Amino acid sequence: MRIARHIIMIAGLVALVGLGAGASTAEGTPQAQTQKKLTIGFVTHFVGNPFIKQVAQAARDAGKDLGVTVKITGTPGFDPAAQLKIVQDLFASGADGVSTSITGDSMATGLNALIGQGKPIVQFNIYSSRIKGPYVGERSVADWAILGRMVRQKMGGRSAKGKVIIGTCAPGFPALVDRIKGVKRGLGAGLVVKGAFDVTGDPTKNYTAWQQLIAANQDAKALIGVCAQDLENLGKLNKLNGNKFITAGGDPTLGNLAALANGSGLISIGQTGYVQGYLPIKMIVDAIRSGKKLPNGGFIASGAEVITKSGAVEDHGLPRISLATIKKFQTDAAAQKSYYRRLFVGKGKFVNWRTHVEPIANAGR
Amino acid sequence: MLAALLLLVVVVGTHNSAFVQPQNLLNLIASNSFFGMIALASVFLLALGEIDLSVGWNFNFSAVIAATAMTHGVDPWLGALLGVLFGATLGLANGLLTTALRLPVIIVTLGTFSMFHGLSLVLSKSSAVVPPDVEGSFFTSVQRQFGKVPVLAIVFVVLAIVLQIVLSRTRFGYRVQAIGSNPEAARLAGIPLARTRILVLVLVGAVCGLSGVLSVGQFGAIDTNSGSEFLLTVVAAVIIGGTPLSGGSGTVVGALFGALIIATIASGIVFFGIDATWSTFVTGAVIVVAVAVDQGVKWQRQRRAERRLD
Repeated sequence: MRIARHIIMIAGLVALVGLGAGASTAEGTPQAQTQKKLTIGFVTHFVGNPFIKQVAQAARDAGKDLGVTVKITGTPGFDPAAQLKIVQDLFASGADGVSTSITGDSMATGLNALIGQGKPIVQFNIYSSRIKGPYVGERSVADWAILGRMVRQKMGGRSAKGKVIIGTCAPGFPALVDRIKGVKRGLGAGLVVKGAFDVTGDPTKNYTAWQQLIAANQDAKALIGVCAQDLENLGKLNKLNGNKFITAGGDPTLGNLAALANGSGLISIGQTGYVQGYLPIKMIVDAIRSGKKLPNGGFIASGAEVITKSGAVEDHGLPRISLATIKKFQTDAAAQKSYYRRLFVGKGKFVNWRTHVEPIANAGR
Repeated sequence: MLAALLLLVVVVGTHNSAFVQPQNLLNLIASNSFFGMIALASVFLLALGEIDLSVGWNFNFSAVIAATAMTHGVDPWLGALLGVLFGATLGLANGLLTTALRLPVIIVTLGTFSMFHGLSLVLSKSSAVVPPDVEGSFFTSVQRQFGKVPVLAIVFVVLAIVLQIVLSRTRFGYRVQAIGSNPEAARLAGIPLARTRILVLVLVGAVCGLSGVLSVGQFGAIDTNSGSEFLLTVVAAVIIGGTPLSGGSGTVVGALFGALIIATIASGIVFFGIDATWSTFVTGAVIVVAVAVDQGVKWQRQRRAERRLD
């Protein structure tokens, strides 16, 4: 009897699948697609993270500027299978294109299948070289080498000596492995570099992890974290230790900016999140409206931001800005937009973005 | 449970008919089969009154073993078999530790959770493992569709039927439920507690391995973080499906529907275009509503039965 009930339930499931058999979707012609209001999906990892919020806001701005609907969605952590499913669902629900961060190589087969069907997909923030679509993001190694060089300079330049501790919030995560490679390259030879140690992604645990690393390495000269939450916590701990360490990290979060402002942090490397949000939407919309396909791979550098107490030196010929201005960007979307918008209109660098596409290998050099 | 699932599908389908396209629903079943298969096997463990915290990393480690074997020239089918056996071995390790240390599974797997994760990272050298020939017959077989039905969806549903029969129609299944219901009574009745617990953990491990190798077949790679988010979803699917945390009974088909409810909610959020900042809350709220609908249906059924008795 129980088996029979279960068979009936399975039959119900089959019927459920058949429910939509009669329904149909109309495939739009390219002409129709250029006329109707386009819908572009934007799929992120770490939903709610301050940096990701900035990127998502830029995607929204692009949607408004270009007259398209941008649907922003994602996962709370790093979950490649869930992100791939969201991309597939977005296309199934009628999206005309999708930009997604790539939290794992396992997304490649599924995304390439969609690209093979003619769906425009642009990778942002984290990439896989296996995916046949362009990527907008940082030069992980080269940008973080800048940080390594500045830390070494502060330690005494050519004659620098001492111990440097490196922490990562996700051991083995490819983009962070590249950052660590960059830091080590920038630090150069002759220093005792320890790590990368796991300092976890949770901000509270991250604080404790750095606290313990400091306790175990009181002789360290510099502490470097490659994730967004590191510098804020390093700054707090450094202050408690009389600012005796050189601390460095990434991304212009409010906590990181506070550490730079009060002198407990030396440098934060930003990756111009605004470009990573705005440009992929523009690329997809341009490709659909012009009928010219997206490049079959390739990389566009979003640009490095070198942020110190005296402000930020930005890429792409953007004017230097103060710490106060960067801080304002976190809460004032209009101010942020008016600063970066010049890159995408008139004679802005990314108006004709196709001329800036480099080989994907450059992203990890 | 089916009522709650149907309601969800109708709600999302009414909003956007593309959701109820057969191909989309079949893809939904297939792409959620990885955690779903583990949920099916976990019913046995919850029916015993136990929880295995290491399932996500067992999935990952088994997949890394299989993919690494493939990168070293092992035939992908053999590599896949190796992955399944390896998953079963990890389950056996959990079982032997549980028995030897006389500890609940949850305590032992609290440790093996990190051990499997760490060893998987060491073996994969902290990067994705990508087998060289992802066009081979193993990969095309896993990615194949019979008509419109993906192989993964077939494996998922067939596994649910087989495991349901094992749970409700075999001596092993009865023993599992008897131990979960009253371990002392089961022991006095001569049921081998330790052996049954070990066998259940081996079963869960083997299914983790199967799910892992199928994931390698489907995606052509295994990432360092794949499976890391499985645990809560697996337990949620089993509980939503109607298996009590207290043990003593369980329904594998219920866990299948529980997994599909979770899958439908996740997809529904995308189809409704709910903003990322709200999606986590909405997911939780809809799960509560789905469970409430299910409870409501059960309560009404019970009342009707009571009235008939009166």
